[in-house]
Amino acid sequence: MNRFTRKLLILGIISLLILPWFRIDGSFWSFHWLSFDFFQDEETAPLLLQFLSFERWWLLPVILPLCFAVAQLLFWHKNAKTTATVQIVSSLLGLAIIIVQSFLLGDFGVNYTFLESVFSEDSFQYGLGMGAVALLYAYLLSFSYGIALKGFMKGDVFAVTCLTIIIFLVLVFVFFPVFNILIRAFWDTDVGYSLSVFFNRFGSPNIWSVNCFSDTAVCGVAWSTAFLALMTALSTTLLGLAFALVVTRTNFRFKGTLRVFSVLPIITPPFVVGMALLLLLGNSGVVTQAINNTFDVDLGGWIYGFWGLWLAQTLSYTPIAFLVLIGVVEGVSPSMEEASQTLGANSWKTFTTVTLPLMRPGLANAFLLGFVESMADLGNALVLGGDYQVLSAQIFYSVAGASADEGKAASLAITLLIFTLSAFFIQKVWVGNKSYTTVTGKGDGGVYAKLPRAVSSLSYMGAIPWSVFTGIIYLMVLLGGFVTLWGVDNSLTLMHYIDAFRIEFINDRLVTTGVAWDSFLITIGLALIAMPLTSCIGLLTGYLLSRVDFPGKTYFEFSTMLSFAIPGIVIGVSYVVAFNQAPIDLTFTGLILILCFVFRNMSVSVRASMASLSQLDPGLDEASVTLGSRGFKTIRKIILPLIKPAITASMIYSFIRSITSISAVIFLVSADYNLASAHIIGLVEQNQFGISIAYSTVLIVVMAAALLVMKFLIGDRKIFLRSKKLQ
Amino acid sequence: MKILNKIMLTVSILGITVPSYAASDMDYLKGLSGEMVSYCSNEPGPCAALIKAFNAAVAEANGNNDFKAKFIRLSTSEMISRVKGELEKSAAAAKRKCKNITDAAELEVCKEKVYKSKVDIAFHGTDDPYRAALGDDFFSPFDYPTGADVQPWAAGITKDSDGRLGGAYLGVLGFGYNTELLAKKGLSVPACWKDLTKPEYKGQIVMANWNTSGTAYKFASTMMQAFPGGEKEGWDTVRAIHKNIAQYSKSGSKGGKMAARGETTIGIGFAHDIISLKQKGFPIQLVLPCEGTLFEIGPIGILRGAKNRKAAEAFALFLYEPSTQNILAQEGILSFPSNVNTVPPEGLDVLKGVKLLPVNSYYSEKKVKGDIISKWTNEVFPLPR
Repeated sequence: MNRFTRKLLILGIISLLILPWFRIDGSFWSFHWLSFDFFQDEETAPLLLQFLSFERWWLLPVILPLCFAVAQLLFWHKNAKTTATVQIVSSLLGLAIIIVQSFLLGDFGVNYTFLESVFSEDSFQYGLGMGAVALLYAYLLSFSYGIALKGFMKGDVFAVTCLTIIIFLVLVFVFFPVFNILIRAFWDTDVGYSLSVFFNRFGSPNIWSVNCFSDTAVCGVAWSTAFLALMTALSTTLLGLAFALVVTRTNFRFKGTLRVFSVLPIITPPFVVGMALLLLLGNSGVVTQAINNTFDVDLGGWIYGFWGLWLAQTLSYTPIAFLVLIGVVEGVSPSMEEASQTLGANSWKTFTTVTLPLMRPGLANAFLLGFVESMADLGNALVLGGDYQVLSAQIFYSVAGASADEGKAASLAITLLIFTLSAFFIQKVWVGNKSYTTVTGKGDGGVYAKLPRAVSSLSYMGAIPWSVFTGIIYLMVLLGGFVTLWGVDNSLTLMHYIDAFRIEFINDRLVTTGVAWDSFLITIGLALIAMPLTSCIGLLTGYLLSRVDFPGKTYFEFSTMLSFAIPGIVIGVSYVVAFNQAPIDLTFTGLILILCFVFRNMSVSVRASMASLSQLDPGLDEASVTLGSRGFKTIRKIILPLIKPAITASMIYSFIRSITSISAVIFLVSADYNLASAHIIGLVEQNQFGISIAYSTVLIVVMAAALLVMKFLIGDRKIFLRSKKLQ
Repeated sequence: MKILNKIMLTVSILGITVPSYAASDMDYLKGLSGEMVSYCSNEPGPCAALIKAFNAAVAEANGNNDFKAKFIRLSTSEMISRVKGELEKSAAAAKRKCKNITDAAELEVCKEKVYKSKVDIAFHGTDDPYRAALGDDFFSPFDYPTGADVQPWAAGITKDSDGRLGGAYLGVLGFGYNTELLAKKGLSVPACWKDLTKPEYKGQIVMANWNTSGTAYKFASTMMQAFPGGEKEGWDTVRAIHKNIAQYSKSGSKGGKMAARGETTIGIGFAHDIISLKQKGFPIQLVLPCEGTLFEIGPIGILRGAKNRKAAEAFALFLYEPSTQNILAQEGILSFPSNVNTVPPEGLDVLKGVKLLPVNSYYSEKKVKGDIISKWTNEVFPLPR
C-alpha cells in the first residue's frame, strides 16, 4: 500500500465512521462530538449512522466512489494509466454526488417540487460538517493524483493538489456567493429573470450620463468613480514609488521615520483617517478655522466631495503601493544598472531605460491595487463623500439604504466589476510577457546606481511633505482620544481609555469590565487565525500563477481578484444569503468571519508574491528540482527565503485588513462574535468620537506591535550584494 | 388611488397625562431559560442597558442565571437587509410548503414550523423599514399590548401590521436652527416647511440623503402630504429646498448636530435629537413646522421561527413596561414613550403644540417608497444648486 492509498483510506474511514457529517453547534475543536452519545444523536452522527439509523438513504452514494477508488488501488492496480482514469472518474462522480444531493435537499426538505415523490415528506438535512469536508478533501486528492498521473502540470502532484484545492475553495467561497447575488440584477419580482430587466437597470442615466461635460448637472456615477479611481491609483503609485526610492536608494537620514509614516495609514481603521481629516480640514476643523480667522475667507466644505475623497484615499492606499514597490525596487539588480553605466549611460538614462522598465510589474501591480482599492472603498466614501457619487457608496445605499433594492445593487456591482476587469486586463497587456528576472543564482556583484538628481529630489519632495502631513493627521487622532469632547470641551482626560479598557478586581479576580474588551479580543483572535491561512493560500496561488503552466491560467488569476474587487457590502450580503442554510450553514459563527477575511484579502498576498517571484530566476528552482527536491521542498528551501518581503507584506496586510474591514463584516458579526470595527462604527454613529478614537488608537498600537514582531520573526531576505559586504 | 388606512391623531395624544405608576409583577418573566438573540437598532448604549435590565429582571424573577439575552446592534435598514438575507429561503420554503392551507390560524402554525431564524426579536430604530418589510413576511403576529395603557399611535402600528409589530416610542420630525449663526447672518426665523424655500437660506440647510436615511424618507413623505396641493406642491417645495441645501449627509441626525455646532445654520431632523442637543448647551432652537409634520415609531417585531419564542414574547412585553421605557431617557434618548404610565422625559413639553399629520400607510409601501426615492435621485438630486 503506497502513501497515497493509505491517506485516502484513512480519510475515507474517518469521514464515514467518526466525524460528524453535519455541522454541529458549538466549537468543533472541543471534540465533544467524540462521545458515544453524540454518535447516536441525529445532528452529530457520522455518515454511516446517518443512513443506517436515521434513514438518510440519499447519503449512501456519496461514499461509494471512494470505496471503489480505494479498492482499485488496493486490489486491481495494474498500470498507471487505468489507475489515473479510475481515480479521475470516481472522484468527479463523488464530488458531483455530494454537491447535487446537498442542493436537492435542505433544511426545509426537498428544494424542488418534482422531488416530493422521491423523498419522504419529513426528510431534511442540516448544513455540511467536518465529515463532509474530509470526504470532499479525499475526492479532491484523488482527482489531483489522477490528473497528475496523466501528466498534467508535468506530473507534479503537489502543484496539482494545491491548484485543485484552491480552485475548489475559490469556487465555493467566492464564485458561488457572488454569483448568487449578481444574478439578482436580472431578477424582478413582477417579470422574473429577464435580460431587459438588467439592461433597464444597467443603462440608467444615473450610471452613465455624461451631462457634466455639457451643463452644470452631475455626471453618471460610473464616470465619477472611474475618474477618482484613476487619480487615486496614479497618486498612490507615484508616492509609493517615491517612498520606496527614498528608503532604498538614498542616504536619507530619517529612513526609519519615513517607513513608519508610510505604513501608519494602513494600520488605521479607514473612517479614522476620514474623521481626522475632518478635525483638521472640515468646516470647523483646526486649519479651516485658522485660515478663516486670519484671512477672513470662508473656505466652505471643500473637503466633502472629490478633493476630500482623493486626499483620504491617497493617504490610505499609498502604503499598499509602497509595500508592493519596496520589494520590487530592492530586487532590481544593481549589476544591470552597472552594466548600463559602464556602457556609457548617465544616471538619468540608466534610470529611465533600465531601472524603471525593470520595475514595470511592480508599478503595474501597485497601480492596479490602488485602482481597485479606490473603487471598492466604502469607509471614506461614507465619511467624506458628500455629494460626490461613487459606486461603492451607491451599492451600500441600495443594499442597506432607505430603499432596499438588491437588483439595483447587483447591477451597480456589475458596473464596478466591469471597470475592475478592464483594469486587470490592461495591466496584463502592459506588463506583457517580457522577462523581469533580476535575482538569479549567480549572486550579484553590483552596487545600486545613484539616482538621477531630478528623480531623487522629486522623491524627497513627494515623500517628506507627505510624511509630515501624515504625522499631523496622527497627532490629531492621538489627541482626539484624550480630549473630553472635541471642539466643545477641550480639557484633557483619560476617561475614554478607561471606559473602553477598564479592568477591575471583583471577588479577588481580575475582570475586564471595559466596553471594548469583548470585541477587541475576538477581533485579535480571528485576525490571528486568518493571517497564516491568507498568506499560505495567497503565496501558493502566486507560486502556481508565476511558476507553473496550466490551461485557463488567466481566468484563474482573475478569479482570485474577484472577491477583492467587489465592494465589501456585496460580499457581506452574499455570504449571508449563501451560507445561511444547508448545504453550507455558517452564519453566526466565527468561521464565516475567518473565511470572509481569507478570501477577501488573499489577492494582496497573491499580488505581492507574484511581483516578487517574477524577479526570481526560475533557474533557481529548476536547479533545486534537478538536485532532487520536488514540489514542496523547493518552495520551502529556495523560494520562501527569497520572497520573504512578500511573505511579511501579506501576513501584515492580512492581519491588518482583518482588523480594519467594516463593510464586509457588518452583516456577519453576531452577538458572540462581534468585531472591533463594527463596534467602533456604532460608537461613531452615536457621535462618541472620544471613545471610538481611543479604541482605534489601541488597535493602531496593537497592529504596529504585530508589524514589528512579524518583521523581527521573518526577517529580511539575504540577496548577496557587494555593497552590503563592503559596509 | 387606494383607500387609505388612516389613523387620525390629534394634539391631545401628546398631552402629558399624570402617571399612575403601578409596578406590574411581570409574571411573563418566569420560567425563561436558554438564550435569546436580538437585533437592536437603537444606539449602542441604550441597547446594552435594555438587554442588561432584561437579564437582571429574568434572573430575579426565576432566582437563577439559566437565561441570557444577547443583542447585535445595526442601523434599522442594515438590520432589515440582514434579516432579509437570513430569512428569504425560509419565506420561499413556507410559500411552497404552506401553499394549500387557507385557514389563517393553520397557516400561521405552518409558517411558524417552517421558518428557521437564528435571531428571536428585532426592536427599536425607525418604523419605515419595518413596515416596508411586512410584505416579505418576516415578522410573526403577537398579542402586543393595545389597551388603555398604550398610546393610540403604538396601538395603531400593531393594528396596521395585523399584530406583527409593536411600538415602543415616538419621535417627531422637525428642524433646528443655530440661534447665534442666524442672528449673525441676519436671517429671518423660519417657522414652516415653506420658509425653507426662501432664497435667503441658500447654502444654509443640511438634511440627509434620501437614499441613505430613514429620517430623510420621513421628510419626503411629510412633503408629499403636508400641502394642500398634494404631491405636486410637495415636489415643487422639495425642488425649491434643494436649491438651499449646503450638503446631503449620510445619517439622519447629522443635520441637527451640524446646526448645533455652527457648521450649518439649519438642520432637518427629529425633535428629540434637537431637544437633547439644546439641553447639552448648544445654541439650537427647535422648529415644529406650521404645516404639520410626521412622526416615527420605534417598533418591536418578533421574527418568525424564533428559536426562543417564549423569551422573545416576554421581552416584547418587557419593552412596554414603564420601568423599561425610563431607561431610554436615562441613556439620553428623549423620545416619547408608548406606555401612558411612563413619565415622558423632561423637555418634551414643547411637543404639546405640534400639528401631526395622519399616518398614511400608502407611503410605507415598498414600491411607492422606491419610486419616490428614485424620482428624487434622478430628477431632483442632479439639479444644480
